[in-house]
Amino acid sequence: MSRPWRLLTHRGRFFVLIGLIVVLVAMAAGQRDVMRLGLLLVALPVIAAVLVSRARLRMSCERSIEPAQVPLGSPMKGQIILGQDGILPAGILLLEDSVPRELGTQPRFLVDRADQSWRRVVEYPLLGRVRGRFSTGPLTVRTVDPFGLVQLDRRFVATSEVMVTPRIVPLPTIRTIGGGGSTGEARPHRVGVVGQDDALVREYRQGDDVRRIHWRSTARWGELMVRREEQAWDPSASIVLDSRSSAHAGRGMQNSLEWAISAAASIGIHFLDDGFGIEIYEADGPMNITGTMGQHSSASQELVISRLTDLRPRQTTTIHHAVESATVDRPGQLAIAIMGRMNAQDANSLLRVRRNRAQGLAMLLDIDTFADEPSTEQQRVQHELAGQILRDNQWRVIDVPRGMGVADAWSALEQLNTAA
Amino acid sequence: MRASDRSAIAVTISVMLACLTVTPLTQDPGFVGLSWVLITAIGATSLGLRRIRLTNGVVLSAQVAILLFYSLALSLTLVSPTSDLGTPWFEHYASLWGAGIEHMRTQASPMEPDDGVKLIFVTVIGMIMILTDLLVSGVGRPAWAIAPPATLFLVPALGLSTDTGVISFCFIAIGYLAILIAEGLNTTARWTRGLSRDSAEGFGTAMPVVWRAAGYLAVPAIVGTIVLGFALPTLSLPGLGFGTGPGGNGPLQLTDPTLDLRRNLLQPEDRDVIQYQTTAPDGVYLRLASLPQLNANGWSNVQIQLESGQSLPAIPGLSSEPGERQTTTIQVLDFSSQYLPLPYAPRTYEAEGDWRFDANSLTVVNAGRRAQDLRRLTYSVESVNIEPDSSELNDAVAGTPADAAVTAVIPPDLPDSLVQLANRITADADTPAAKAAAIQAHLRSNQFTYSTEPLPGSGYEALQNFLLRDRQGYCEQFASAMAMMARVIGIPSRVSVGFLPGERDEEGWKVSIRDMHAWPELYFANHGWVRFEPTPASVTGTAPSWTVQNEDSAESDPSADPSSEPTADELSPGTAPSVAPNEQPNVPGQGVNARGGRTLVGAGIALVLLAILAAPATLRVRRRSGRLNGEGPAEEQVEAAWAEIRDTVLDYGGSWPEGSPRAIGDEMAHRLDEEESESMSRVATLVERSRYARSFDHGGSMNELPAMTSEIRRGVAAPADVRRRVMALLFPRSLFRRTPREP
Repeated sequence: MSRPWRLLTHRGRFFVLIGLIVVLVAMAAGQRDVMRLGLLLVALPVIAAVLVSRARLRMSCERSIEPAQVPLGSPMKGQIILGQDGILPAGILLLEDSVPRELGTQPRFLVDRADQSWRRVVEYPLLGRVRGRFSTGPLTVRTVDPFGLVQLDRRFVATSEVMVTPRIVPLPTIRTIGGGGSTGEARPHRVGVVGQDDALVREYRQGDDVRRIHWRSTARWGELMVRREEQAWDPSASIVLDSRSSAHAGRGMQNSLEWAISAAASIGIHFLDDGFGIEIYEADGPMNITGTMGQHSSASQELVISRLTDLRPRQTTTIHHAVESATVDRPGQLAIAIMGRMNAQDANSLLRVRRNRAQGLAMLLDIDTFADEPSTEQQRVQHELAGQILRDNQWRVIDVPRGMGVADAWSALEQLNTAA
Repeated sequence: MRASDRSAIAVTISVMLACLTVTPLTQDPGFVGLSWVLITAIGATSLGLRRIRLTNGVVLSAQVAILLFYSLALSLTLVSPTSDLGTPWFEHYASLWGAGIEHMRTQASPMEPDDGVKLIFVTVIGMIMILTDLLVSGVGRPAWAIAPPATLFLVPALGLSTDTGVISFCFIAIGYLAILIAEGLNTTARWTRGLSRDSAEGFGTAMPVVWRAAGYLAVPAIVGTIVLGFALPTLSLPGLGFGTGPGGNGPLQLTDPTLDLRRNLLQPEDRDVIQYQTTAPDGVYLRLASLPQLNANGWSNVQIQLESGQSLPAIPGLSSEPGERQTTTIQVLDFSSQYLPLPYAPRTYEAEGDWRFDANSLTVVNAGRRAQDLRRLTYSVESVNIEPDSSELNDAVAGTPADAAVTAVIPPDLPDSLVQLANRITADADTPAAKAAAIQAHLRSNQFTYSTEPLPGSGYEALQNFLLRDRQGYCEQFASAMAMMARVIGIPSRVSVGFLPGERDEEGWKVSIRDMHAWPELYFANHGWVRFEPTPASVTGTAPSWTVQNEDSAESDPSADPSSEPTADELSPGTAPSVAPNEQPNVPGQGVNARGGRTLVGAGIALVLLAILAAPATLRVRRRSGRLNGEGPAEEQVEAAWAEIRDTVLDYGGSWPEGSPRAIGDEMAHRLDEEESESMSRVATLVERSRYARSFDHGGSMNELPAMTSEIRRGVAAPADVRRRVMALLFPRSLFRRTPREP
């Protein structure tokens, strides 16, 4: 009862004030029957405030969201397990879970039993409509009276975290891509890149080349050890992701940037599965996927997903930073550009990325099909010009309209190759 | 059940209960059933039309249409006194309304049954229903739904002098709570959303919890209200009252019997209303009530204290009660009144029902104020006749009755013309009885004509019209004129209302409705209240013997004897004091003192309230003037000015920054306009110097300090709105907040 006035709703305060006035006037005028009306108006909020504020809640709340990580556009299920132990207060308990708008409406329910102790499981659907990390909760318990005179909000502390990642699509292997480099093999060897130095040796097996015996390890282990084969070339792919907000259009999940990020994530995961090292360059610079050598590919995969989950559209207007950092980084086999609306200047600077890489692949999103309103004539001309520039410089370019899947676009790139 | 259904049902229940609260106004509870039909119809309309989601406008029009139709249909089944079968329906409807209004105007509650009143009640209750439904379902403001039913509740609560009682309050309270609970149910029903699975069974409904919570809350609230309602005192401050009468156990305010007087005199058909057999040879005047109070509104009742019992106390003012008692057996026919018609002065009576008497006036009143109880009542009474001997009366002085504070008061605002007339008429008479006889003779003279159509007017105006202008009137005018003039010349007086003795036949006496009558009673020492009869002989027959002095004084007509006019002023001051040398002058004084005392108490309480309200402002203003008086050492002045600025900022709801004087000065200067911010910086510098400088050198700006402080105060106040300013004046926050001591 520290601040009873704050407990009262507007109606409650109004009741108290009007009631007091009526009581005083009726007392002064000697109208006992009118005074009763005033007394009732005062008594209702006062008693309600006492009942509600005296009530001690003995409730427990467990909460979870299943699954805690979903690709964009996937449903989730929130669950709240509510337990009551002890007498319910003489009020109505309205419960509301705070859920960010991006995940859906705030689920509400109320305690509809006056029993002493019970357990109740409430589930509500959520939908990952926006990429990012969100937290749901805490659960708010609002104690009100049936006449709408008092209102007391209390909160549990627990919250649940949920991550809405870009949509990741398994991609078919493009045989022709890996082979364009310095080795003749289509696939890079799977090499253990984790662990100590001795992980690079193995026991001698019949037929191993004597020259590959690793004498130092042999001495240490007491039996013949051979070096495992080392890779002649570094399988790596650089992905340039156009994350400029000006280059994209569309609403919510249908935004072309979401498509681009989904493609970047899918391609990144695809190459990591194939043992490539990858790096993603977005409009503001590298995303430091392969910051440290020797991390396991699954760790890198998580890193890709996590980084791309947090990626926000950039205000940058050029892809200068992306191109610069990609050029400075070590050279590799592949350059893959996933671009939004481009102009000739973008295309020209993108050409520099391929300078030290064997192959260049480009997915050019047809922004007009994503946007609500068509782009200007000039923009379209510039975009087409940019595509032409890339093609002229031996990039493999594919235009991606809305509705095309990432896997389809990827396959189309391969077909483009065989066709070419 | 949908939300709109709940609201409509709750509103219907609420208004049904509310219409029970007006039943004390009338003796005919028939309107309740008719109203309930209408309420149900309107409620069902609301329910049905809102169910199919029609707009408010459509629902409202439908409800109004139902109300009009029902009201008109009802009017066709009712009988209007002023229209017959031939009159068109609209005239019939209008005449019913007119009759109802006239009935309400002339009747005291509880009113006798009347079709017009019934029509009005039903129609008004229908309107209340529509309004309530509009508030709850139409505009969605259920909290306001107390207003229309409370209007019904307030009519008897304010209009009747008695407490309407707990039951009536419970009707209103329960009805209102029903509306609020309906809203609570609607709110909770809307609450649940967005769930895919719920292990609880009652998915989304919380009826039991809501009802349980409502019970926990409403029962203590209503019980507590009722208990507190009895426990809390009511003050009845003079001048503050509204409505009539107290809510508690105070004295009873009775209806004014003169309201019926003219109506009964004008009854189109004369009918017998009372039969009686009496041992008195000439029949008896049957008195209903006496009106002791004279003021600008004319003669009226005062509140009386009722006592129960069959034997009445001593007759006021009568020194020796005559041994001979008259026994009268009275059968009341078709007549109803709160008052029991009795001959004056009654000694004992036997009547069925709860009848109580007032010791002062010896009137007997129905305790439940149910006028119907008198109808068809047969009762008997023993009484003595007050028939003083003419010569004895002539020697008697005007007495001082127990209720002299009322019956002997000459209203201070009584028009001079009436006072002069009274003095002029009685100038020639030397004893009180002679003066009274002179007044009566004047009124019975042929200057005055009996007419039931006097000039309109009320109070003093009616008296002036009657006495000075058209000189036409009926018994009420004659009686009140005589009683008024008797009072002017120093005889306590009152106007009694009742019946003339009526006509005698072989079985007894028959009193008809047109025998209703009013007469003055004058108070003489040792004789008590003595009846006079100023109404002309054409109606009342000859005047009582004791009221006629002799032929000379009866003929003393001022207009016929112009010479008496100049002498009137000279004589009256001499005669009146000689009549009642000791008693008369102090009587008005007491009344004034009593009234003055109550006014003083009221004014005192008002003053105390005002003083409490003004106390914070006074303290604050005194503190300010003490700070800015420019006296004392320079350092203290600077500190005082600084504190004043701080308090001003707090008063206007601002926050006082923390930090050194300079920092505070900078912060404050940001908030102020240019000029004031400059002053603020200067004051801050002064404070800094006075606090920290080794020797305080104010550089001559001490003289400007009060002016600068005032300027800053204006600057602080400038952006505040009116409410904030008033609050800053009346409830300065700096007074109530413990300000942190500055270092």
